[in-house]
Amino acid sequence: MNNKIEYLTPENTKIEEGEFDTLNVFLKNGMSYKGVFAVSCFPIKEPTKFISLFYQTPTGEIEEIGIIKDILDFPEDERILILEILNKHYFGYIIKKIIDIKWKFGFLLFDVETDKGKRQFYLRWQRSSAIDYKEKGKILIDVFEDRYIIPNIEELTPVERNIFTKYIYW
Amino acid sequence: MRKEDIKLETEADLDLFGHPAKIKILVTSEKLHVIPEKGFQEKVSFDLKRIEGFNLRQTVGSAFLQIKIGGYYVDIVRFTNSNRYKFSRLITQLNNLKNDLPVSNEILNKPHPLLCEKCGFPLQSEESQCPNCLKKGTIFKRVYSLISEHVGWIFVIFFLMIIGVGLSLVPPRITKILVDEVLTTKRHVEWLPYLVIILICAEFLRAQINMLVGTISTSVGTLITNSLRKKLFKKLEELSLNYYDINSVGTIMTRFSSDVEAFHGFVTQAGQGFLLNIFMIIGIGIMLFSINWILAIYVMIPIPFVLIGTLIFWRSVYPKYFKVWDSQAKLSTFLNNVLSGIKTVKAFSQEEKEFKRFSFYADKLKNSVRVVNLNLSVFNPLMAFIFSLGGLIVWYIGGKNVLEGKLTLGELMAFLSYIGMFYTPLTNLALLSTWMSNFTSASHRIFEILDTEPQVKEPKVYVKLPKIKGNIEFKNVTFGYDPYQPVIKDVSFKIEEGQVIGIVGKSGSGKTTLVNLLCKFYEPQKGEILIDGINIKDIPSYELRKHIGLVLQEPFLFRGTIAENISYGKPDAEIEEIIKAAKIANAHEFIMKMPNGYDTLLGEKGAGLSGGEKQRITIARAVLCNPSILILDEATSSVDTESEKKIQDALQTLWKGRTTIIIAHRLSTLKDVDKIFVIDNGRIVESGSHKELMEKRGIYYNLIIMQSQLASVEEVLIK
Repeated sequence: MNNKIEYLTPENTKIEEGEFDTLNVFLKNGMSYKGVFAVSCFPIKEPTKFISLFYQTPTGEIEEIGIIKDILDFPEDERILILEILNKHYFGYIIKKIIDIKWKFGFLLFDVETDKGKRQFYLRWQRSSAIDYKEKGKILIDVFEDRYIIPNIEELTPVERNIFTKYIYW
Repeated sequence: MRKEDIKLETEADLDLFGHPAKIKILVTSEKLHVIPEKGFQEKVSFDLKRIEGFNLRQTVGSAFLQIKIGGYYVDIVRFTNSNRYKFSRLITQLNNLKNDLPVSNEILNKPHPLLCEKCGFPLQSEESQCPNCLKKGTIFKRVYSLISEHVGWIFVIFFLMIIGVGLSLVPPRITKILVDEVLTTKRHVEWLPYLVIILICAEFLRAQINMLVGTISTSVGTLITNSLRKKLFKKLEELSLNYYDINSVGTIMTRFSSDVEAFHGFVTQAGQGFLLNIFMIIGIGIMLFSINWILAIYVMIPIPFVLIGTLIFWRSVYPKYFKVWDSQAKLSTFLNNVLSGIKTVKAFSQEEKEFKRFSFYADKLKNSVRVVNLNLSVFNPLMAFIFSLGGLIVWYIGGKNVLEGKLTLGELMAFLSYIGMFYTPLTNLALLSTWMSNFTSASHRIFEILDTEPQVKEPKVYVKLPKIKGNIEFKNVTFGYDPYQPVIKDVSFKIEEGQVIGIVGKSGSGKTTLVNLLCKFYEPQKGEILIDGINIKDIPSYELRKHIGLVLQEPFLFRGTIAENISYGKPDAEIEEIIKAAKIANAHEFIMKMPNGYDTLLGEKGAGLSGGEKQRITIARAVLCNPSILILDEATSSVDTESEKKIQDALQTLWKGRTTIIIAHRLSTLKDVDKIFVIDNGRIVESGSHKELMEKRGIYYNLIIMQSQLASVEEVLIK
């Protein structure tokens, strides 16, 4: 196993848009990769730093090409492409307002307003369904494993916070 | 495109960039069309002939349908996780279409298997009953079914309780007579000793009845919890391993402790709680009104304040108790963690850091306890004040009545005694709804375990398997712990009776999963596994596992003697058999060095033994069962070289004459096996003898070269 981190820098890497909104990566050593996708090493603490680029082999295996230390090192056009492809790897609803939470048979029915509109979802009332996000936030994982993010619980209104911490008290 | 040409049709809820969208996927026998009706995605079509494969790529919070085109995979549709089941089915149908097999569009539009078909309420597992559709009262019917064998005793408690309430109403009545007839008017001075005797008898009988109610309800309560715990444990043993993958041990432990205790609480409540309170209120109410109905009405004035105040208070304080319990749990988990790893903490000089972390949890506990106690310290005096108001009203109005001759002093005294007994049951009753909701939720959690069906279904017809030869066949087996992410992909192979097989591959390639499937810990989603030509689906797990000896990487020993641990799979083994098994496993020698030999009591998880010693005991355990199929899953990878040599010698004696499957990282241990399977990414990519695979110069060859290089480096380091 290679223990060395292969850093991808603007000097040794060229990033281009491929067919069907994919990402093509060309390395200075002559290697090229199609259908590349990006994953952040620290998606919560440092989402735009230490971004790992992967490709899928014809047999479906996932192999790492290398790591981009800081996205800001890359020229703007390439940066946009990386960010677009990185955003494709993460999806979640940002909760803007908690309208109501109802408990029923071990599930919590959330009625919320998110950055993508109004949503209702069921959460299993268990610790693993509401995990910490950054210093003061929470990620709620519903019964289908869809993710809902509250960036900062302290920014909720007192009423919302009261409803929320009544059930999610950990 | 004509409607009748459409073979498959479904919808995605996100565009490729993650915006909410409506993306139609229409498939004809020639083309796959992606048509956005909403969202920023472009319309695209692909020739089915050009598509080399389909894949579901899981990302964080969403997933993609991919097609393989021109040698690489391309994302064509994105959807939230709630639609994964649909797209997983779509991929199967697309593959069918490509292979000219029949397709079904209906299967795509079937409701999500984790939602109730009737009401859409989420289910705990695909075959769970919907709690929302259970008729009201069903939960109490089920509770009754659990306690029905003790219902006679519950009636006895009920009967005794009524007598107890009656007896508690006697003393104030006697007080009235004592004051009015003996102390103030002195009309019947001779009654004094008799009245005191009646008081003593009433108090004595009441104490006896309370003792009896307490004893019976505790006995019945513990009997109920005991039988419930046994039922739960039996169920947990029946459940497949996937249940433990989803539910943490901590959660299950909570159900065993606090949720089961809720049933104990139910009996206690029935005997000494809310029922008693209801009878007390009714009994005292009758007494108050019978003495003086106008004064009784005055007594009722504080009641709404007591009820509403208690209700509001508990609704706001109860959630705060959760925080206290949570902080206590976190603190004890932290302590357990740090104290069990204290050596590591000291070795890395992290005492200060751990102290800070401890302070954080301790402060959290302090704050949460403080909040609850502050609330209580306000609430309790406030309630006491309201109660005293009731007394003061009686003193004032009743006092006036006594002075005006409308009420006797004895009646006033009795009144005051009754109201002292009147308000406390009221506050308890105000908490009835909180108690009921906690009890029903605890019951639900218990029934959820009792109602869970094991993922691995046992055959309806019991098949006894006295002896097996050990022929194994995997036929197109596909399996994933998450059904959408297969770990084993269409695997087929045959092992003949008595063959010794090695399985090699990277970590996570699916080696242990193959063994898990063979042992029927999980059931494949596709394909079948045959032993001596019988599908293991048709063999009860218990029968099957009697013929399989499993030695795992992490040896697990139970608290008990060495002999008990060796004979775990065959509790009726003779002493000679135990010693013989230990000898074969090369364990006899070290066991005999211990002062208590085979009677040596082992601590938790075999504490007191080295890794190699523990492993040799588990091997002896497998030897004793004399299995037809032996599975060694990395059995020597966590022990030192000397122990490994001894274990290897033991294993080689063991696998003679029986089908043996060895999973190993150290490939040198597989040189003498009959056949080696190389597994990669859930598929068998190479198979053959060591010699054949070396000549092939494929993955196995590369692994051998890599390990020899490592060994040479080690040699150099030694020199």
